[in-house]
Amino acid sequence: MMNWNLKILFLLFLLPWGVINCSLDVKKAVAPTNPPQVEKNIFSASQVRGHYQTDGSPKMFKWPVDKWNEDKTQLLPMTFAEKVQARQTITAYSEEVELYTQEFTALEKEINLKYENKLKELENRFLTNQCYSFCDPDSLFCDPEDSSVLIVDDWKLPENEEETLAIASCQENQSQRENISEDFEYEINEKVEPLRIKAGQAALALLQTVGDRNYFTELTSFEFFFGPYECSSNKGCLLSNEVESDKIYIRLQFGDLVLTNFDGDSGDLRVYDVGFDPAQGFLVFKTPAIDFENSQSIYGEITYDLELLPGLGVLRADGDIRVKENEVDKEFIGRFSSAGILD
Amino acid sequence: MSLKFWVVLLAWLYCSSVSWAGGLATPFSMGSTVVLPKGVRSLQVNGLSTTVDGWYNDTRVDTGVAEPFNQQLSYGRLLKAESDENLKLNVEAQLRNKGVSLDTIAGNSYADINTRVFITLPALAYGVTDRFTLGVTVPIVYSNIDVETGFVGSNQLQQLVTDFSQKSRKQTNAIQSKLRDVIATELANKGYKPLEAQEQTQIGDMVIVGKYLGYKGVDYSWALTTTVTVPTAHVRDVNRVVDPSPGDGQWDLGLASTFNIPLNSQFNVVSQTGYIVQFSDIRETRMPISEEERLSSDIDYGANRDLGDQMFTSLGLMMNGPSQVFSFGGSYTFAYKERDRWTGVNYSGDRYRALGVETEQVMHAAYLQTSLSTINLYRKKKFPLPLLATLGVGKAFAGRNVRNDPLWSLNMSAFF
Repeated sequence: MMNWNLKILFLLFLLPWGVINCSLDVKKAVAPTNPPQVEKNIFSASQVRGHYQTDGSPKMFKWPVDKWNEDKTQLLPMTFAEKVQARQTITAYSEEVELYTQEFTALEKEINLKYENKLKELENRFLTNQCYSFCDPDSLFCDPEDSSVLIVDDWKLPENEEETLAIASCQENQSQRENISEDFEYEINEKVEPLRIKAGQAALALLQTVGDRNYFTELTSFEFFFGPYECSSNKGCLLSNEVESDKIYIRLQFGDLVLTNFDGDSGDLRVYDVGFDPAQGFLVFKTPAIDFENSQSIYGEITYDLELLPGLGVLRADGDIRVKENEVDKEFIGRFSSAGILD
Repeated sequence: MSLKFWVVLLAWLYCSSVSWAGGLATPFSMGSTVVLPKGVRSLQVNGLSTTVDGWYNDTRVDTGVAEPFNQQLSYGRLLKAESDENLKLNVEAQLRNKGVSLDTIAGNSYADINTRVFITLPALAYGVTDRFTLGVTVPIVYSNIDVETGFVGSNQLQQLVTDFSQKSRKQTNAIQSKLRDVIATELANKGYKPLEAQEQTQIGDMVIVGKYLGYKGVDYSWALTTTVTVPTAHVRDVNRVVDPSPGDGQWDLGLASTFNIPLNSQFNVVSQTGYIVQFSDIRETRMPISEEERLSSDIDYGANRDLGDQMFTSLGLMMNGPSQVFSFGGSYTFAYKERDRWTGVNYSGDRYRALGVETEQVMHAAYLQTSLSTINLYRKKKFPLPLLATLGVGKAFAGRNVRNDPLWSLNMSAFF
């Protein structure tokens, strides 16, 4: 009787209980996911090996965080929306500058190429035909032997029919080249200059939006050397066979003040904590913050957090800066951007 | 909709399956008027087993527990969750320059949360007199949670990320890593611990039960049961969105009246009505920004909390089998819990009120059980031990803000 009941107990209660518990195991959680992906392999270290130098002055500024009151006597902190508006405007102007600069640079190159070929062809013909020898011997600037002369001011009187034809051909050549130069100038003035002016206007508007107090107008040059270089404060930078692995050297110029991390540089006014990730093109370094109004007094530190962006014939170095100002115990975030070339 | 639903839901489950503290839970017994004879002791072991996958939300709709995480997210919403102001300013400025409205949908967040809970309830009871029995139980709560979250971005977002990456790989990498799991990003930005799989076993709130048999006659019997819940359990970590804590950290006092009315030798009607007072206390809590935005980095370390009182009533029918060895029963339970009330001085009243949103509960539940008792066989010297085993299943079939997965229970009792 006892065993029979125990079996019932087991079968009717424990066994179903076991089955229920086994079937209630935690299910594997599954959620769909497809986040946006960043395009890979758009950077290669070989694209940035060499000596980089900015073409023109780099832009460096702190994002505006305050604004003048109506009578311009007091700076008031900006709201979040105002900060967004300021960055939006600055970004738009910045893109405008970049766009117009790219456009006029490309157009200028195209126009140059277009006229350069024609001009070169005519100049070659001018030299081949020895047109320089047909200058007027009585003229002060005439040297019939000077093959570098491409413009003849006064032509000699032809001595025979053959010479008449040759001089006429040379005059035609010179006239064509003058016309080409005029066309070139005209096209530059009509097509390139308006873009250059627009770029200049956008740059000015950018400067006005950023504000003088936030713009590092003294920054005139940014250079780096990446590769088998040896840079020292007294000898400058040289390629060296003795360098086993690539090195990175930085040179920044604020007005007359030059800051580098070259070997032998010491003291407070230098570039330090340089880090370069060649696989990504990320460049990080620091400099002391400098108050240019009060000569060279140091009041903090600037951290440059840049990335190298190779483009068509141009290498950009853009990124954030963090300006720590000890006097006010604040950190400001800003922007650094430069366009340059590698040689 | 808010992530707090899930927290509350878990709290209800883990706290109340045992003691009815915190929030309403599916019934796992029918109640009885039986008390132990004087000097007799009883050792019971209850096992409660369930999963937590679904619930009835505030609009009484049956939905998944992770539903509050499944949201359409606009650019504005994504940016609002970002704590890096510089990145936020840059992205918002770029979006405005591209003419992208912050209200445009950037993608959808998804989550799946599966939970398995097993509660072991060892209980000791003692017949102090022939009419009064005292008992105590300390639950041991095992929980296993598996969580996965995801984000599906729109084609426009992919295009924007591609455009941005041409200008700044560094910043775009940062954005990409944040978009990989927007739920995790938002939690991290607001100082929460990561939402992750957890498997743990914890001690729950201790419950002391006193049952007094007020009347026992041929026509009916009546008992009054008092329960005191002692906050012995670990309480929810304020830095976790999902924390299967088995206690809510405050004392409860419950009173229940149980009638047992025999209809004939086979059928009994069992009716139970009760009220549980949840005493107010001082508790740290995350302060929701609003009713719609529950996740917040703000914490009030001294908020006054008053969890809503609960009331319940059930009506069941028990059928005794031959020789009273087997019995079968079923009951219907209606339960109601008041809205939680929070007050404090550190934040606006609206934010304290938001803590109580969707905490009012209503439950209609059914419970079925079958029991095997050797007590009569023992009395007739036909079985060496007086044992009682009950296998039951309860399920909420309608309600508001209550979970609705079946709760299986097995009770094994020995008397000595």
